[in-house]
Amino acid sequence: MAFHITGTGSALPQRSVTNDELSSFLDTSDEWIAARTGIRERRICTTETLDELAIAACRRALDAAGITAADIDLIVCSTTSGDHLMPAEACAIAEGLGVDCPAFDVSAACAGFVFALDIADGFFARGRSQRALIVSAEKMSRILDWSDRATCVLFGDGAAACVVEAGGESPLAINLACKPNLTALAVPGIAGTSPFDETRDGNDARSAGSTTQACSLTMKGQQVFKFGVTTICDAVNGLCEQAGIEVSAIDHFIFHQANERILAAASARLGLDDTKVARTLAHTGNISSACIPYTIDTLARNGELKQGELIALVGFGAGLDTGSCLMRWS
Amino acid sequence: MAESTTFERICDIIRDNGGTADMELTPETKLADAGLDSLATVEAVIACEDEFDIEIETDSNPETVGEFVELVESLMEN
Repeated sequence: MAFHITGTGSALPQRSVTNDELSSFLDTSDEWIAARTGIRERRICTTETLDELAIAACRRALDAAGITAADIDLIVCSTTSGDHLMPAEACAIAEGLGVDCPAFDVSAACAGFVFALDIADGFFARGRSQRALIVSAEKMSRILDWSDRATCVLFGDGAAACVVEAGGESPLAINLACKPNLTALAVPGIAGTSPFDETRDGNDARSAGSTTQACSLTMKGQQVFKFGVTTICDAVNGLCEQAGIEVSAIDHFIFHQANERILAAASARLGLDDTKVARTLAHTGNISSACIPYTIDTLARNGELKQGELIALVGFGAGLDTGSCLMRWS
Repeated sequence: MAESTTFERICDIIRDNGGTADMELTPETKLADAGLDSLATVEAVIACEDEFDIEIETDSNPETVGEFVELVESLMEN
């Protein structure tokens, strides 16, 4: 079976937070952040909910595809920072769009969009769907430790969506993988107040309700950096081997936008024409799984994606999950 | 001889990955003083993996040029 992307859309919060603004309450600077990450600003939710951003992104993708929500028969949302643990973010999107097709979330951190694409392809292959909305929506600002200058400067909020339809030539190659590591990049789950839970640090099972933990992100920066660089290289080579093409035949490389230094190091190590490596993170920061579809949308709206061009997607992140896909733009 | 060759190759890698170009490096030179920030150190580690066909644990990032040479040589012997 096969799929093709027929419409894209995205939505970012209105509020831009610059590096200088972060420097007003963190011991950091625009120069330090820009040199180590390539990030200049990020969009952070103030009055917007993630539901609203995700629905807006979907509406733009539907408009771009020239269809209405009623034409959609599947919604898959990748998120690890949704407005709801339950129900799924995808259910809020379905409600906002006024549809009642299957709707559920995928949790594969920054690689989530590629995982969701592969799931949609499986629905197409089984004849269970013809036209799906694949959405990535992240409100990273809610899971950050805003006193940790090493991590909170890296991320932003936003949503992006693609209308994906059965047919076409994609994927020419696709790979999903997990190299289990629960500490390199992590956000703990809800501590809860169960009087029976003896697994929480310092919890006395008899003092129900006394323990709550902030759900904030921790990251081993050097470990994740190395994983990012080596994963991009291995994934691109793997896609090319699977598809039987040379790396030079690929027209666009859309990698997860974690850090400019990761993109530059991977690009150099692979010997890529650096102009083919898409960059959006300077103005958004790392919006986790939304990075890849946001970048696809940005390139598509700028007219940079031409019919028949080959695009390599590589998402990587907590897990440590990797999702890579070689697709043909049509 | 083998040691000096490894040393020179690692010095080249340090210079190619953000190290100060005209600085004389000794085994005692700290990587930070050579111009490598924390991410550039990882970039140099990855370059060493490619150069010497070894795998270096991320947690074992060296602090000095000499530690870097020792680390690489110990892995090459395995």
